[in-house]
Amino acid sequence: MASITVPNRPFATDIITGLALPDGIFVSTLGKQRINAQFKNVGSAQIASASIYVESVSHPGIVVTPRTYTVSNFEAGATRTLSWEADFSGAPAGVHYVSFIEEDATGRNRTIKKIFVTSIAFDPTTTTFTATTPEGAITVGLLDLVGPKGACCPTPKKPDLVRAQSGERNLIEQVARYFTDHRPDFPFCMPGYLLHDLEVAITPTPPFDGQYSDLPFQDPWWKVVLCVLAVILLVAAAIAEAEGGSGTITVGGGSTETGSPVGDCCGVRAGGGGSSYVAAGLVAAAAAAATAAALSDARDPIRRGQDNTPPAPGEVTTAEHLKATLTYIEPVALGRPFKVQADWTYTRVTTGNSYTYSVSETNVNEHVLSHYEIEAPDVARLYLREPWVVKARFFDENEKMLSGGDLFVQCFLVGPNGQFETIMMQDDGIPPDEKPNDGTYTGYFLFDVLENAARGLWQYFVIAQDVNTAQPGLPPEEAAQIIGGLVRTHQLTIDFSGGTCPFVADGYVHVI
Amino acid sequence: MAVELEIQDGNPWWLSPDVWVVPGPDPTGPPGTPIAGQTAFLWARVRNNGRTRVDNATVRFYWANPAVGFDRTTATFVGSANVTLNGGQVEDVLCLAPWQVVWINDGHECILAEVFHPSDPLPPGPAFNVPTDRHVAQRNLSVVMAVKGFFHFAFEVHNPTRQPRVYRVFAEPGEVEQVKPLVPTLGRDFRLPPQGKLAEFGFVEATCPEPESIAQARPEAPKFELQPGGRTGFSLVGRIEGGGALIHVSQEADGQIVGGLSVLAISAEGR
Repeated sequence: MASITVPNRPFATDIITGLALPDGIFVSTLGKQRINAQFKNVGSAQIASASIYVESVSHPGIVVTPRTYTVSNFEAGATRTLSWEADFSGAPAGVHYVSFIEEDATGRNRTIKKIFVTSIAFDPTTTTFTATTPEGAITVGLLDLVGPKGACCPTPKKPDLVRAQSGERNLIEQVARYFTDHRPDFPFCMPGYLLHDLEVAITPTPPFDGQYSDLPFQDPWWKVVLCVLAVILLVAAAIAEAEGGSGTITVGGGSTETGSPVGDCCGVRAGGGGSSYVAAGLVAAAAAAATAAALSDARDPIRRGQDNTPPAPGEVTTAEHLKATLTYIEPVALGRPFKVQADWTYTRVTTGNSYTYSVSETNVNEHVLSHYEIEAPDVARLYLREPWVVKARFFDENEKMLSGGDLFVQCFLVGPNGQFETIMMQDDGIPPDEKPNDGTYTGYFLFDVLENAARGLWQYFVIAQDVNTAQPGLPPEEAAQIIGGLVRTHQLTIDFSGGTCPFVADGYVHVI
Repeated sequence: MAVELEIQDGNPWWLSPDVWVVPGPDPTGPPGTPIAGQTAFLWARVRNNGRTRVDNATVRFYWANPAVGFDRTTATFVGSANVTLNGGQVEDVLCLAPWQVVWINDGHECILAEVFHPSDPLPPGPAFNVPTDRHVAQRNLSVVMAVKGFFHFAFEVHNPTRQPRVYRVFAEPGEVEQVKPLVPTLGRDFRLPPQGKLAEFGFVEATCPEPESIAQARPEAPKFELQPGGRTGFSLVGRIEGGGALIHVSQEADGQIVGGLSVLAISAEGR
């Protein structure tokens, strides 16, 4: 039997930005996404050659584009990330399963892993978005976003409100279309960056007895679903603005409050095309990181609200509400321990009463790196037809080097004509990576496949994201504290000094 | 030889040992009999008889009301899977989409799987053509208990074609040993009975016949015509003396066997 396993839950990346979605949750509304999974050689010997593919999925509404990977010289203990494109359009919200086949000279192994799928719907009468899970539906009204003043976008009709336009019943279908059918050279223009005032309503399925509800998918905190929703809508908003000017999803160009006691939010400048993808992905990632930080990884406001509002005996909880204001007291610097103030009120509605619990606190982003190092040639010569190799090392807040399956690492290449290429970087000892688990993640790109169009100056961004390492059997409340899919590298800082946000490529390569 | 994919037929062809069911919530659990109202998973054993490796062949799984004839338009699609096979390789393939087993046709349902690849495609058309197409295999075996020797089994005959068709349905005794290749996938508790004596058998039209109906039963139903998409029903009845007996029911149209099912009757008293 092949000694390859899939240690962690497979996770989603969206096909626009290429970034992993918060906690790897798939969104059926988006249609096409990528299923990414880490494969580990848990044997004691190198595997000369292995075939790995997706055998089947648990719902016919998930259509995987089949692909068999051949993995050669797979060292003992090494981890390799592989991905498959899949269309989730027909998948209902819920826990689904994927079976992978790993086969080598010693035999064949089948690994069945769960994945989480949510669906998002828009209610034009309330201008709210609802994400569905088996355990209940979370409805979010984004009353206000923090965005740059004087953004390039057209003036919103309601500058202090962040909402989708009323009457757009097919909004979500349009969002899905933006993710599959948009201008590849779209200019970046995102009117709102960070969540500020929001109202959340959770309708449990079914209403529950006692103090505590089930967690969504029996795993993440409800706030993670909120983060997924924020990422999708922000990326879609960016594309919508670029596509239509007024944008179907109309977000505020700054609010009467800045969302920060310090000043106005800066604006991200991207050069269009590929850099807009990266910018949109990173701004959405910043929103997710800031929301996750504000609402605490250890125990989210819904759980803490439940802790502090025990219902009377015999009462059944029919709804839960959360009203929150997030205030950015420090710049939101991806991958750094920025602070966010959260003022929130939780309300439990039962068959007999309502109970509230309020908190005002400051929390810190825990998804950080102390620093990271990147090596890559600054010149690539087409005539040599040699791979351009990029290497990176990442260090956590305690200066411990991360390695192997600790991170999901990609390099995004943005060409002089807006080209956008994505490279997965691995620490698996398979060339061009030199040694597994040594903390050096390596990837390569062959510019010569693009022929003369490749000539010019390219930017590259090496982006590392968390991997959810919660193991099956972990109690849900412990598993919920482990959140994957949050960006830990430092390419973007949303500060409040006005002007332009620091949005910095990790390097440049001149293709000649 | 290039890619040559196959899911093997049985004897008769609708008794394939290479498609089977795992009842319950665990798709990797032991094979057995599907239970109406519960989840089950379908498996197929797929072969590449060629010498060329095939990547990402598609395996599709169906269940059908065991009207003894059905096609891709009338069978219910359960899900699909992919398999990569070297030349000469044989592997078990799981359909991870669960089959929600429903109670129809007195709970008797058949399963079917097919494998194909662009380099070894299916023949055109909606017909499965199980006996002539190596890509497709079907299992249509029902196990019934004979109480005080009497057993009965209701089934339907279906015309999936677009033309009216005249059918002949007839029953023949088989050998219990023909079921032997299927035993590993009939459940942990299944024990193949010794060959018993099939005293009487035949068809009646009643859906819930009494033992006395055997007197009117005939092993061949009179020829009948079915309109396109039409169905009609029969009951196979019989009496065994000890052990078990296998009866094959064949559906013939235009001089060709176009469908079939087998019934293994086991004496309840002998278990």
